[in-house]
Amino acid sequence: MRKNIFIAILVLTAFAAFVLADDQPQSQGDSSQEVVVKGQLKVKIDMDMPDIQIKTDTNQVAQSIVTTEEQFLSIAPEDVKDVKASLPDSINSERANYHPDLSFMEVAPIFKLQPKMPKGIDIDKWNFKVTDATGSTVKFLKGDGSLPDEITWDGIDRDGNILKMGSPYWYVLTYMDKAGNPGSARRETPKEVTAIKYKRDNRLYIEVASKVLFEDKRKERLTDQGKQILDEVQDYMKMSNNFPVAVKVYSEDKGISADQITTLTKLFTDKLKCPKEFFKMEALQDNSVPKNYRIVFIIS
Amino acid sequence: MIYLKYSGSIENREATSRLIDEFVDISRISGWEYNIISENFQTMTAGSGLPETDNLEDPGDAGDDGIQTLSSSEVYLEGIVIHIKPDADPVRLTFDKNGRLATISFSTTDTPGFNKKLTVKKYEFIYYPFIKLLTRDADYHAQAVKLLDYVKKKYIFDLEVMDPSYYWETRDVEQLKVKLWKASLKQSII
Repeated sequence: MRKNIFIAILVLTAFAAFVLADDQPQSQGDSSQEVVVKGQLKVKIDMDMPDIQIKTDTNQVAQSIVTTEEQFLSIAPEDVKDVKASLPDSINSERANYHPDLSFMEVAPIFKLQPKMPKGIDIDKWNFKVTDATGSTVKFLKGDGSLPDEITWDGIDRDGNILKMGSPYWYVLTYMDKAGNPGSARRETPKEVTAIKYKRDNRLYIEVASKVLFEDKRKERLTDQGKQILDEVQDYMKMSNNFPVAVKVYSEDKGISADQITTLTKLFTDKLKCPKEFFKMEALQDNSVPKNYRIVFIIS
Repeated sequence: MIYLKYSGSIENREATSRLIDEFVDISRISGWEYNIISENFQTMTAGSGLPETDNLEDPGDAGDDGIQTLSSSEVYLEGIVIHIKPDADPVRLTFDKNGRLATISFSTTDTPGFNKKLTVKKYEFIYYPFIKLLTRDADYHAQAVKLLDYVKKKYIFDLEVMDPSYYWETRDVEQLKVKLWKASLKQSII
C-alpha cells in the first residue's frame, strides 16, 4: 500500500515538473534579435475628436406630430363638417401648388411706369392716358408738378369695367416742363391680355379670351393652351371648393357660346368629378366694340 | 411783324395720327384750344376749319415756292391747329396726302351764267407747301419755336424753319425782342 502511494507521489511529482518546465519562457532559445531605432519621430498625427454631441429626445421630435394627431383624433366624425365650416369666408385668391408651372393669369397692374426724368427738367403739368384699339381713352390721369415715382393702370377703365380680352392697349405719358418744352413717353408695342384674374365683391373673377381657349376654326374645340389654362382655372375652383361656379361665355352668337359651354361642362365634370349642376353656365352674345369674346369664371 | 415759315414732311399717316394725339394731350395740359383738321372738298366747302387766308402769302407775290391751284378732288389736309393764345395766329401742323406740311386756302366767286339768270359758283383752292405763322410778341414766338423744335426732334426730321428774327438759330430772346420792336415800329410807320 505504502509502495503504491509512493509510486503515485513520484508520478505526480514528475508530471508537475514537466508542466512547470513547459511554462518557462524560452527566451534563451529564441533566435530573433531586438532592434532599437534611435532618433526623433518625424511624422506626428494629431487627431482631435470632433466636439459634437448628439442627443436625441424622441419625445421632443414626436411632440408636434403627436399634438396634431391628437387634435385630429379628438374630432368626432360628425364634427368633420365643422372643419369645412371653419374655413375663412373670403376666397383665397392664391392658388395651391397643384400645377406650379401653370401661370397664365395676369394680375394688376397691367401697366407700370416708373418715369425718370433727366436732371434739370422741372415738370409743370403731365397727363397719362391709356387707349384701346379704337383710339379711345379708357383711362386718364393728370397732375401738376413733378411726375410721381410710379404710374400704374390696374386694367379697369373709366366705367369700372375690366379691360377687353385679347385687345391691344397702349399708354402715353405727356408732359410740359416749366420752360414750355413738351415731351412724351409712349408704349410702342401694344399690351394684349388674354387671361386675367381679379377680385370684386369678394369673388374671384377669371376672364380668358376665347381665341386662346378655343380653336379658331372649330370654335367648340379646346386648344392645347386652352386646356392648360382651364387646369389653372380648376385649381382656383378646388381652392374655393364653393359651388356652383358661374361661367359666362361671350361669343359672336349664342349658338357658338352654347357649343363652348358643352365642351366646358364635359371637361369640368370629368376632371373635377362633380355634377354639371355645380356650374351655372350662361351663353351670351357679345356686342361690344372692339369685340370682347371671352369666358368669365366667377368663383365665390 | 415777325413770322415763322416752316416746311417739311412727316413719315407716314400713322405718325400723323400720333402727332395729333400727342398735341391734343399737350394742348389739354397747357390749357390751349385746338382743332383737329381733317379736310376734303366737302368739309372745306362747308366752311369749317378754314385756314385764315389773310395770313397766307398772296400766291402772286410768293414766287415759285410750290404754290399751286388744286382741283376739288385733290383737296386733302390732315393735322392739328393749336391756339396758344386766343388773339394770335395759331400753330398749324397740317399735312397734305403725301405727308408734307401744307395749308390750303379756299375762295369762292360767283360768276353770272350765260343768260345772267344763273349764277355759277366757282371754287378755288390754293395749296401752299409750307406754313407761315405770324407772331407779335416774344413769348409767343419763343413758345412756337419750342413746339417746332419738339416736332423736328420727334416727327418732322427734315423740318426747315425760316425765322427772320434768327431766334430759331440763336435762341437769343433779347435779339428777338429787338427785332419785334423794330418790326412793330416799321408797321406803325406804314
